[in-house]
Amino acid sequence: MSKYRRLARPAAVVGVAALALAACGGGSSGGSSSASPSGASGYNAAMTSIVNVSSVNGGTLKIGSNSDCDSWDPARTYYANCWDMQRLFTRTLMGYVSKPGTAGTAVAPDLASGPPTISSDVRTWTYHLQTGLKWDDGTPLTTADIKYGIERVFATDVINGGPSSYYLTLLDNEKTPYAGPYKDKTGQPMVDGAPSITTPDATTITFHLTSPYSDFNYIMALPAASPVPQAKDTGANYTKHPSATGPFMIDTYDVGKSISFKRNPNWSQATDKIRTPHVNAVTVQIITDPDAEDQALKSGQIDVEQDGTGVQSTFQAEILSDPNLKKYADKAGSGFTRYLVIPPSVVPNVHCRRAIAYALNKADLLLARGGSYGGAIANTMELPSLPGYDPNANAYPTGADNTGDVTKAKAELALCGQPNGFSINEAYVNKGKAAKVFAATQQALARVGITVVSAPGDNASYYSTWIGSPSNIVNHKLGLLQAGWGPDFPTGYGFFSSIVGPPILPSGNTNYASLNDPVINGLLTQSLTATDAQKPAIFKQLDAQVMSLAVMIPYVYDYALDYRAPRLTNVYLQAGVGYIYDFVNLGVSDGK
Amino acid sequence: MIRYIIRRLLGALLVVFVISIATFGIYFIAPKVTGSDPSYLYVGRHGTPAQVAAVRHAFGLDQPLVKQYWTYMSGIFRGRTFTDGVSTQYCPAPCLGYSFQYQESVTGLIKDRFPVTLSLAIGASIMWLVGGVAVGIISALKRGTFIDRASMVIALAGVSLPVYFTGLLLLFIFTYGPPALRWFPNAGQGYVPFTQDPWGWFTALMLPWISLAFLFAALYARLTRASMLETMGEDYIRTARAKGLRSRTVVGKHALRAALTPIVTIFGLDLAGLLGGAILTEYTFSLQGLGKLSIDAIAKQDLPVIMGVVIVGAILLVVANIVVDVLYAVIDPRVRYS
Repeated sequence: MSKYRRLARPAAVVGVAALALAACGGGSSGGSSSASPSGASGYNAAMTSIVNVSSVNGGTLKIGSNSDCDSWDPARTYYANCWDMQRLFTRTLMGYVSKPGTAGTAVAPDLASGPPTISSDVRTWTYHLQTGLKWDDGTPLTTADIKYGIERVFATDVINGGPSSYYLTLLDNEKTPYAGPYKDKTGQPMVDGAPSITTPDATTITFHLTSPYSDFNYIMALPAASPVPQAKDTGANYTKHPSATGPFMIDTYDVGKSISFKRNPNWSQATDKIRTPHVNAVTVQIITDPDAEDQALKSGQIDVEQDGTGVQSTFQAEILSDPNLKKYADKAGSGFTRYLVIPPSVVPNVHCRRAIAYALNKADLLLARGGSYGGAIANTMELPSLPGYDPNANAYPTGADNTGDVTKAKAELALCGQPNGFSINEAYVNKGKAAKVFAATQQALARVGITVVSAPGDNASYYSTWIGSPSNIVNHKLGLLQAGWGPDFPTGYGFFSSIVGPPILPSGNTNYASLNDPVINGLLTQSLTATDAQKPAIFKQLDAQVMSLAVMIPYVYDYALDYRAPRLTNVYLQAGVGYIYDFVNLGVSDGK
Repeated sequence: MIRYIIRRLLGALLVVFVISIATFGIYFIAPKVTGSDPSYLYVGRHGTPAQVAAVRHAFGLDQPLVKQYWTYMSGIFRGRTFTDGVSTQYCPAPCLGYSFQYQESVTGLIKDRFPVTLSLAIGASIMWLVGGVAVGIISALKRGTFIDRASMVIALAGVSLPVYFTGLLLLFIFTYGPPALRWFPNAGQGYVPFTQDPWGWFTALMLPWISLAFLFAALYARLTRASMLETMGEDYIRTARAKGLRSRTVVGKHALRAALTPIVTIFGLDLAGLLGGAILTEYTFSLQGLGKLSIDAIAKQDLPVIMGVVIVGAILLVVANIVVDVLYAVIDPRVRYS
């Protein structure tokens, strides 16, 4: 899932800030919650508890959004908040449990009747479907629908935009790749000369993977793994009216403008342990201006913002200064690590890279990212919610106040033979927070004689061909790359595999440092067959190894200050989709 | 006159044609300069080069440029067929392509969004024309007085304040402000079609009209004032007064007609330009008009939509140019075309 693609949006319009400032940093990080076991509301309560537990049913949940989802076709959407919305109407074999805090990163059977049977080589996964499941039109749901839903992901020209790579890599072979059901009406994806997805009967489905993959349950929890009825599949147009297996179904959809959901009469609560819907209808209204959206939220015209990126500085200032507003706010996160990449292809000496790491002023960088309500200082690549996260790990301590260790930086500079510093180009997208991060790095590194030169990339192509192309990095001598990463699913492998190991692609590459370290690769492979109990140690070691190479220097975990309307019930932040309010489980206390 | 109009129409056709080539060219040349490829925006985060190539092929972006241009432009006259993978659809002429992003016919999208921009533009233009011209006339007649100076200062504010500032300020006060002042509660939430709810249509558009009109009214006030002052200084006005005609006749019948010719010209062009999309106003008030459509298309490098909106906007502008020039001849008898 990706919040990063929001960078492709047009620049936000200036807010009318009566109180002017963005949150000033410093002071406590405001992380303490005032949750009580009864689910009372309080600042940050939704991070650790379910707020306003209530069984009141009825009413309409009013959601606001800056823009329409990238797609409502479950196989083609990649925005984190859209994956959260998919929980309204799309069910998959496995799904994130509806629990607050890091417990929400676990997956449990959703359409499946129980956890899968896994072969000893972790390559064969067999799931059983619950009996009596139906589509929104009453037709029975079978494993053939699940198989078809995944097969259409292979038609990458038409079904584009989603996380298809996982399925293409795990369920197909390179010699005779499957082209998808539109072009190949009789074939299917094959692994080792045999079909990779088999459905011996209507309630059994077996996946034969190309290689061991201990996180496969998470791949089965992504919306892209959802069933699709072949009779209703209209290819690229399916996004306009996808079928539903969840408690809601699409009522009206005006492409690009608004969408509304009504209850799905063919969904049965008895079959669903993840969702407890309370409202009768959900409406999503598009309010393009983020400040206007905040005001609509504040005045009660909408109950919650779909975007999941937090409120703007104007409303944030109001919230932080008014306790009656603050008790409905949450510092949501984190689903994203912000870090600077120092590619060895441009800065080959590890001591020069370490000098940069020691010289960074993380306190300033936190301010640049929005202050204490926009993030928390990061000393590890791994997010706090992932297994193996070590709160004590800090490979390059930057002082008690996190402003940088100039002495150590200069010592490393001497070791790399550049005691007077050097010049380096920093790649970033020249607007908003990224520009502030650039200014902060420039200032911090200047203290040890490192001159940071601006090398901005274009918004639309930054991740694809500016820092996403290893040859472009070398050609433009980009020595510092601003990057952010949020895993598609909350596991150690899900976090690390795309950014620290092969494949290294010529464009659209996410392993920005072009790392190909045998220790790291070995640990990644080891994790694919490890048990859950073994994984924390593996990823703790992996994180330490990545940090020791000094090719990626994390500085902030992103947080967002969210606000929930007072009338909302059963509110909590779902960690699996990236700490966004779990829309499907929300109710409204007044039943309207 | 007829020959004049025909000549102008042919020239307009040429201009639209050149604009279409320029837009097409920019879309393809810019990525070569910045090194970006629009297909990446549609592929998803881990897109392999093979997937990017597949998407590029699906959008027809791997064909030679001239062929792509020809396919697009001929589709406008002949119609085209598209496939969504499962079935083919026929897009009847004038077919402006299929949006990469929305899987909708661009003609359909424009037809859907155009009434929003039309309502916004026409409402605002009436407001600013009446308001601006009235203020300008009064200022000219009462030149040098307090009213004159005050009006011109307010006009300066109108011209200087960006429309998204004025718009947000109005929203903060009259939609989300103190309950006593929430006179327009449905503003900022999108367009209400006239056929669905005329009163809702009106109230939702009032604040956008005011924001947009404030900007233009200021210009028109100053322009009218200057034009009036110049006309009022003419000899024939002195003659009219000397003949003993009432002030109302002098101003209303004789002076205004001459003073308004430049106003009419500019009004036609401003209105036509707005019909192509009032981007900032639409964005601030969540109005899904042509302006919002074009901005979204540019962000996602949605070529068919960009081409469609630009061509439609260009046609509107050149037609408006012709209409204004013809009107010029109607209003001012001294102008004659051959």
